[in-house]
Amino acid sequence: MNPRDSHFSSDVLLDYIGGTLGDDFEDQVERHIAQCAQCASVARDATVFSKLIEMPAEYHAALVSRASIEGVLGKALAQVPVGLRPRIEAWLEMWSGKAEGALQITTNFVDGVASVVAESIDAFVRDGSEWSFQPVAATAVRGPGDEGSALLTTASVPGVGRARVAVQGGESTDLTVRIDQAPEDATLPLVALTGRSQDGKELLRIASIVEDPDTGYRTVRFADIPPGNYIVAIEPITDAKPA
Amino acid sequence: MRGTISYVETMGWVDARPAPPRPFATLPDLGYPRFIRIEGPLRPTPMPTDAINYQDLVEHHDQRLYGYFRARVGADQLARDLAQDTWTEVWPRIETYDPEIASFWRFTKNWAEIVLKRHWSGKSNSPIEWQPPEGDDELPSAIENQPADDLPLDVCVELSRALFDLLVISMSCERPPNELVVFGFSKLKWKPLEIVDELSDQIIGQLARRLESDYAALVMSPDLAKAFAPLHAKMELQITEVARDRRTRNAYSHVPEKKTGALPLSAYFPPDADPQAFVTRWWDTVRRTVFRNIQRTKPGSLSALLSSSVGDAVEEGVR
Repeated sequence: MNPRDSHFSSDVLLDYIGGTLGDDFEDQVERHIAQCAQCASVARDATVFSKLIEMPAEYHAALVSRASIEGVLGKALAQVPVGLRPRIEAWLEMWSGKAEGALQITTNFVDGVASVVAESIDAFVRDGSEWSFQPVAATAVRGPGDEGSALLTTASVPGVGRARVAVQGGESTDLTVRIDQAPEDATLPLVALTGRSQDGKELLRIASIVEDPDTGYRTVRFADIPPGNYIVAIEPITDAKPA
Repeated sequence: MRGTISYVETMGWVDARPAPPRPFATLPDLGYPRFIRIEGPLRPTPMPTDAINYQDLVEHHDQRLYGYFRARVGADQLARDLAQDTWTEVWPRIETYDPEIASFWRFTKNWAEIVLKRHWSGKSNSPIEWQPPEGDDELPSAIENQPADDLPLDVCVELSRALFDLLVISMSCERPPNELVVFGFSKLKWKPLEIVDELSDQIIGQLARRLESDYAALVMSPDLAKAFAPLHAKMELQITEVARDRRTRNAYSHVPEKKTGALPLSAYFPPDADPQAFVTRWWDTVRRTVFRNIQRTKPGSLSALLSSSVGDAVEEGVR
């Protein structure tokens, strides 16, 4: 079969990836794939599909469990300074590791241009939280001194944000979280940043929001984050009660 | 909400820089590698066999080799590079090739599999000793998923999302409910013999509820009910209503005209058939239907995973 002939069916390509075709037929399919972009694409889909479809529910469960803030916090307990541990233990115990707000952030830097993709992760958010992040126009978040910076921000509700996450892209990224609305007597929350850089290095940082006495802004800043995929989770605001 | 927020100009210019030099740029681009790369210590030793014959063998097989990699990796250039890497491995070992043990293609394919595994494991410089194939046996390909604890969090998030999407697509595909139930129990690691022995006499509607319940006990997701809703909805219909095409209706012509959910699993096995074989066939039919549906609605969506860190995790899971 040459590329101008009709294509192989998805069933044949699934069988090819499964290694169940005879050698002669396999030869024919491989030579066709070498010349046919469409069948190559379906075969690549079949490569991934044939592995995903055989992953048992048990493995799915392990992934779901690991892919939780609870998993991150458990790992963080062994790494953070002793003073932070009670806060993290309380976060785990009271909220089962759920967050007030959580974002997945992917940063990239190619040919001098940085890009950022952000997505709210509702599955990580505690019951009753209203912090679903939405993209908003870029504004400065750290105070008067930073207004010239190129910034991207997200806010819980456009225009009336309760919290903002700003990402300043580059060869490395600065990420700032600012809390705009919190009860007067609430303890300012911890923020966990975790993920993996493009070169495969694991990153896990946890720090508390602090109030700048000069500007009044309540922020935490994570500097020099290499391009990669990260999750930002904000500790539940402490005047809220677990559901 | 998902979306690219924007991009930031960080260094004062956005014009594209010159593309990095392509590997093997001096070779003519013939659409697939026709020549092997020769370098450093891998410079070929004197040919033990007729050089022209070997060259013929390479030229005969390299298009197929490129096809082999093109089917398995997410980028055509990468497929070309891996094919050339394979020839680079094969060339200095040509003396070990014995036509009486295996065909030249099998010899080459073994090296292709090693090169592919090396690529997936990110150990491109690790020495790998080649073991001659035993008879017609392929290299081991059993799926051994990487422990979730070894995966980065972002990969776990994406992979668990992909598996959940696949569950939704599977449970809503246009196959009869008995096939979907069997497929679901196989995800819970029930073997065909166990399904036949222990579930045949049970009512399909109850099995569907048990399936969801067992799944929910494992996978903590508030959306599981959504995934299983289409399966439960089918239980209220008769087989003639859920078997959409004539071939499927004929295959289930022996099934009584009752609500599908009110029948035992055994009612779906054809008379005098081997139930175990049908359990396997149903699982395979659902698998093929799901793949066809994905190709029809979102072609290339799974390939996209290959170029992400999730793809690495998926592929590494097959080491």
